[in-house]
Amino acid sequence: MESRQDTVAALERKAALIRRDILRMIFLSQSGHPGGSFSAADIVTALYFHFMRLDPSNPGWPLRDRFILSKGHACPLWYACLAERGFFPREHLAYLREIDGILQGHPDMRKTPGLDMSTGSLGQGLSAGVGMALGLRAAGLEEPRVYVVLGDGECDEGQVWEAAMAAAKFRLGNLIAFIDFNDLQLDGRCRDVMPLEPLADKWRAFNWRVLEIDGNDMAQVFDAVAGARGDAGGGPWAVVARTVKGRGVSFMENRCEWHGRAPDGDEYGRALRELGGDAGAAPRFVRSEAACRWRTGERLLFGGAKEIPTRDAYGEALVELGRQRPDVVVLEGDISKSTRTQEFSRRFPARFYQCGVAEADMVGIAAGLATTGLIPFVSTYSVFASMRACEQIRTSVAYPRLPVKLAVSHGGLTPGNDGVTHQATEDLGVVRTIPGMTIVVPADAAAAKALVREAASHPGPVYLRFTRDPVPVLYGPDEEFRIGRGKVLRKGGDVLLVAIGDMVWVALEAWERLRREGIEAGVIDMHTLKPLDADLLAAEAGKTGCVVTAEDHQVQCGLGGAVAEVLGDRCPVPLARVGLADTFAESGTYDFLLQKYGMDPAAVAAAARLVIGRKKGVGHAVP
Amino acid sequence: MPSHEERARLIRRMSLAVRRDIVEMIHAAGSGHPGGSLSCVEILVALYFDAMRIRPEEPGWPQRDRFILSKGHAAPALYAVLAERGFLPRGDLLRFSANGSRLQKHIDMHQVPGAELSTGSLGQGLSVAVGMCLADRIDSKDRRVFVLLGDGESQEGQVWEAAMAAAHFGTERLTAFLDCNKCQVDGYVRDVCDIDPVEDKWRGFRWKVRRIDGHDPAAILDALETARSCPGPHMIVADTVKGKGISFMENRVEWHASPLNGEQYGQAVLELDAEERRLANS
Repeated sequence: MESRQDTVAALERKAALIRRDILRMIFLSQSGHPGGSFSAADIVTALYFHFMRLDPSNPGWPLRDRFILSKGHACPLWYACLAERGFFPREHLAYLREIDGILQGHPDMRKTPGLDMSTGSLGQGLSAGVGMALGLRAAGLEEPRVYVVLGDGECDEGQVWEAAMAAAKFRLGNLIAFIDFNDLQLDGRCRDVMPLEPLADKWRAFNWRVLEIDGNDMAQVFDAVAGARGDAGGGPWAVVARTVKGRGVSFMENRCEWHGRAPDGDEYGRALRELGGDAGAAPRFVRSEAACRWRTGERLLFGGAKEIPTRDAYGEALVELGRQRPDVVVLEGDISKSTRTQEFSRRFPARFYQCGVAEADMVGIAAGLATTGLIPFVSTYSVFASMRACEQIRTSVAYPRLPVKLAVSHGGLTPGNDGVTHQATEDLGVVRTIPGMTIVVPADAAAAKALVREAASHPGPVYLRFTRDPVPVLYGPDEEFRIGRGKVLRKGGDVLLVAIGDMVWVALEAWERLRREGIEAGVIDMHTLKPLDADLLAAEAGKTGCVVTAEDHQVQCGLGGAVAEVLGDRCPVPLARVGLADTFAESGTYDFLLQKYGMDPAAVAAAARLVIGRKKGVGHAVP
Repeated sequence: MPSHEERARLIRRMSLAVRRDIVEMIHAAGSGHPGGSLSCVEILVALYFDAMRIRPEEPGWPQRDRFILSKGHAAPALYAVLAERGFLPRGDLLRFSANGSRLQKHIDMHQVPGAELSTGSLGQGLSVAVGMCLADRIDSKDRRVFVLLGDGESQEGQVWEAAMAAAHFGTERLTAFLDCNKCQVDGYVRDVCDIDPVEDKWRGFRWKVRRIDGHDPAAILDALETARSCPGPHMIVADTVKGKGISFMENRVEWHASPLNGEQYGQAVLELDAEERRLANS
């Protein structure tokens, strides 16, 4: 019988191994979240290698303990533990965040054996844990425990407190939550972004039993878990674990920038040595570039073209606006480096409001500011604004007609290897349904600057969507844009290509392919999805007799839907819609995703040929 | 300068008038939320007739204090108070919830003079109040912002986001009331999803907290005075009775959204008449 001391020592060694695997995973992928993976490594190692009852050959074993990594971005940690426990071959660790892979940028329970829940959008995992705990109780299973690991910044999310209330109400003694309290979130220290203290008091006030430990001291972790899992009588447990972000690698420890950054070769070597690894030994998993079946798509027009993410243009336009207009204020949800509002925050700190990981509240605060005559720009990722805060947008902003500008980044598939939880692929459809919303998706950096300026003066609420990744520059700096007026980029009588946002360059590439085949296509940049330039659309559709829409979005409800509505009303002609075919995508590079999901220039050109073919048989239903 | 006792008496008197308005308008409409409207009457009256700096003849007065009814279904209470205070003609109350009326079942801020926000979907009002406080800071204005939340409403996560933000931003002139009438739609709050210990929660989120009898005008005035005298955010937890003032409604879950029929309305009026006589003689 192993002594507690021996067990703790063994777990410490295991945690070092896990950290080495995490490091290598992220290094090979050149993408991922080391800081928050390392801070929680001791807790998750203790769970997977001592406390949790699991059967790797039977991931669905009903009597198993459950684990949810609610702070899903730390998934390299989860994957490393699952691989080491034998849930899947270790070779997969070499392909973190790769297209066609089983290890997504944020946990996908349908792709990775051993995951109990998909996560990645903060604040949702604890609710799922409550449900699992209730389900276990309903099945009469007293032994299994549900373990959930949350981030500290994640506790800004209101849903965490909803789940906390529910867990206490249902007296879920089989539920044990850990808060990985490393005191760093994306935009800085928690105490600066959104202070959490007194955190333990909060959990007690929500009727949880609370333990406070050093979460990087394996002995303390061991004792906490042993105590909590052995005492299921009095309601849920919250283990507030003080940790160090990046723990284990000295140059990563307590550094904000290592939240989502991959080490270069030199840093990898140094980190590996600190973690007790031997750079000379054979690595535990290797990567083969030949394993990838995708190649960069061919470009006829924009090969070697200058490319700029439209979110960069937004950041610059915002600073200019800040200078010109004292009534412009900015609200941010902890990702200012990513949404590019950080420069505004430096120049105009008195007009910048850091709201933390709390999108619903942020929209409400924006509404409040707007009632006093200010023009608030609200920034976060498109998926969180349009989904998390959808009702707040509808009821606190659109219904009262308040001039709040939701200027959100990471539209469509441009977040690439972050995966589905971070890709906004339904946002345009959802927001379009809300009365009074204006929706603008600029195609390039020049368009973004001009349209951000327009949006500031435009009456009422506006939803502006930007790309994470760079897109080709299409327009000169003096090009004029008007909200509600589409731009004709090419004239041609055979087919009309209507595109929006980062699919405009794709449509132009398709135009060139078609031209070389003797097909003359018209191209419209329909940057304003709502109100759609119906007059322009109807006129141009009438001339060509068939239409293709192209959007980085589902084919239902977005541009395709809006165009179908107008054509149906005014000019019924054959229509083909290019976009995601009512499917979630996956982690992968943007270019590969466009190819895999039928949204690249070849796909747009194929849709054009298809719809031209249908022109001959107008009036017949398509089988 | 009226004495504390005179101010409390005014609140009692006006509360009675407001209760009459509430039951009358809900009866006339055949629709509305009596229970939660009646539980917050003294609080609203204290705000509109004593604490808040407002101008009924100029609802948009830039220096005004603001009130947000985050528990938006208590609209009848706010309409009655606005009418009694002179923002609306009293005659409008009888068109409450009628087709085409500007006094809808939940408040439309663009239709009601004196209303600061359209509410009805619980959990959103506190966030907006925080935003208003932040705007005041830009203008260096001396305005105060008041919010009324329901106890069931505090089950909404967004409330806790706003609570965290208010403390973080140091919204000193923000005062919230929690109308703790212990009932929600599907039952008593303690059975649906207990929110106790309420004061510990708000203190844990770094608010200054007091607990009072929400039907005692003197206690309300006292709490408001304390809130005025030191920086917030302030949370005044008010123990109240759902349906207060109408005996057959008091503490009864089923009166959340039930209109009064003719007989019940008659009974209610008799009780309010008796209360009026009692007040006159005291």
